[in-house]
Amino acid sequence: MRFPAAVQAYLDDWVQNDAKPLCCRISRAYTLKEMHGDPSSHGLDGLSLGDDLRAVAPFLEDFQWGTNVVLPLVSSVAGFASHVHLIPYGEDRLVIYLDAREEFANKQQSQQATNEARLLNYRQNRLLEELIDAKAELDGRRREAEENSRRKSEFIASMSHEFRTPLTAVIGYTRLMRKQSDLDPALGEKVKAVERASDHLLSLVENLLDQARLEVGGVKIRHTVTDIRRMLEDLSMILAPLAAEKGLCFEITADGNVPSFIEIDELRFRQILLNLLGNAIKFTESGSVTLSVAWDDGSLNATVEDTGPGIPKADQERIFEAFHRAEGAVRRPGAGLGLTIALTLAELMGGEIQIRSSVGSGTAVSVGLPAEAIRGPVVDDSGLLKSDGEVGGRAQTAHILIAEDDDEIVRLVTLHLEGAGYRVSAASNGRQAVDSALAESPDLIVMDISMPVLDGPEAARELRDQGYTGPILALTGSELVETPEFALGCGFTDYIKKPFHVPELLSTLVRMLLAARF
Amino acid sequence: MMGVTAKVSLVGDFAVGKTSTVTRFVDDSFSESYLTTVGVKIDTKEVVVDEADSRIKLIIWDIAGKGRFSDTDMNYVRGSSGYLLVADGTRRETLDSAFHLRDQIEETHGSLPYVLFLNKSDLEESWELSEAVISGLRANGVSTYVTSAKTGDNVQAGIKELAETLHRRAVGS
Repeated sequence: MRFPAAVQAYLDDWVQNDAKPLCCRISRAYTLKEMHGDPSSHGLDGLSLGDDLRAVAPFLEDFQWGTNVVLPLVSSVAGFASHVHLIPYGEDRLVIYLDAREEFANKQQSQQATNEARLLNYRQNRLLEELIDAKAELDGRRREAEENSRRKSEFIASMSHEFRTPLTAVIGYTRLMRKQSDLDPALGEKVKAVERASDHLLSLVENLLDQARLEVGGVKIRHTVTDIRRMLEDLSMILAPLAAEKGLCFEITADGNVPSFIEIDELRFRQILLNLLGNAIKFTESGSVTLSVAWDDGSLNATVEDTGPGIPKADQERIFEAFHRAEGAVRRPGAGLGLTIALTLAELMGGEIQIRSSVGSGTAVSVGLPAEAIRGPVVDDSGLLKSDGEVGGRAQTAHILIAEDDDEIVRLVTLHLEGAGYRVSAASNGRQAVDSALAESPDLIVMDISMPVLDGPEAARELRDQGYTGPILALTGSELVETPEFALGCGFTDYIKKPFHVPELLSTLVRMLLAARF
Repeated sequence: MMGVTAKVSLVGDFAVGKTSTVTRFVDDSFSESYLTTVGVKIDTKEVVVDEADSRIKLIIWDIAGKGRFSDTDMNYVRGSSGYLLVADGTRRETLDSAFHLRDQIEETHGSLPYVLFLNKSDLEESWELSEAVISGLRANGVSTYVTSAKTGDNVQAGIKELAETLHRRAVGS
């Protein structure tokens, strides 16, 4: 089909202006025989008839002569882009160049953007894959850590029982020996040394086990309604003798506005105060150690102050780190865990600990804990709490059944309870305990958790099923069962950990008996 | 002996370093900036292939990078005596692209001599090809070079091996 003349003229004009065609006729030996058009539009300036065209058009090499070939977007050495058509022309060949610079530039721009985006996308995907791999690795490590943590918890539970049971006997008997009136003074000093050493060992064991449990996240905060003054009395009973031994003035006071009953984790609060007071007594050689408790609208604040040597400024920043021993503390017994545990527990309870100290002027450690006041019976809140370990009243005439398979513990508890005026009977396993309790109806049962034939929880459940309504106190050496939920779920009224302090045991018994309206 | 010529195509996915490889080979230079190739760019270089000073003139067709060739791309390859297959060692998928392109070339133009360049060996931290993969390639008869157009590592050696092969085929020895 031929176009009308006007159209053909337009197309000719368009091709000439836009494609700037260059037509070269070459021989089989690549010699330029004829040329039409502008070579400069294709970077071929200076091309002359007779030249070997391969010098500027290397694509001519190795092409078949007999066919039409189109090579789009060929870049020349000089940087020009052309569409090249190779056309047989008799014995010769025509090489036609059409200007493609604009098309080249447009295509390069879009292709560049596309390729860069794909590269970026690839890198992002790789990063994502690396993140996924890293997460999978972390998940694996976390699972491994959880498994290790579980094994550690099991080990801690097992070891705590193994440690506490013999320590109960060691500490209890040394205390009994020391109290014997006919004890030879020289032997008395040795017994005191044994007692101090076993107290120290107990403290170390307790702190190491607590720290291990805190590290594996095994400590859960459980709020209970707490008679705060009774708790402070218990603390006083435990610690006043230690302070008295060193000739220190020891006093625990509670402001009048401290509510009688507070919802707080009593066990952990007691542990914090025990650690702080224990530290204060340990480091104070003369003067006083005091604990003052105040209430500030939903916040329970306890401050332990001592007249000890004080803590250097440099040590104050690190004193809460595990196993850190402040200057001057390295020659004293301890593992450097007391304050770490206290701080961790306070933070778990949503509170904080602050320390004020200067060398030579003593130390004040303040604990602030969020707590809720509970409306309850008003008790005497004169402010000064008893610290002489007195327990008394009708409760001591009660009959107490001790269910414990360890003869040493039975003898020890019996000695203490009989010394306090209680009537005591014993059973060496859970079955015997159930039978004796149902036959004798004791006012209170002290029951070991772990016993042969029938263990403590099973015995307690059976007693409740059989209608026994008296209080049952669990003695536990295991970390896994020392929860109020567990104890109450089994039918126990309360529990204390082995090794227990005798005043703590006695005051617990009095409280339980009074609560049972003995 | 009189020099011979051979058309060599450079094929591989985009941004694997084909143009940088040619620039290193022909001009012994390198540019950090990436500029995509459009269409085809043709260069030449004469290579001495043996101790007798035998030479071969390589007509190097640097073809725009793609994972798969179109018919137009195949036209560029037509008449090649051999080819240089280039992959980016920091992008594992470009090795798959390279072999796909090889299969396309063999399907259209038959079996031709080639060497494989695993380029960008200077980017050690991003390198994605294990020694086992590289050994596996060589064990399967793929003439493989770990190259860096940036530093020049193995570029000359790899192209020289291809040039020697093409020269042997050209002179019939």
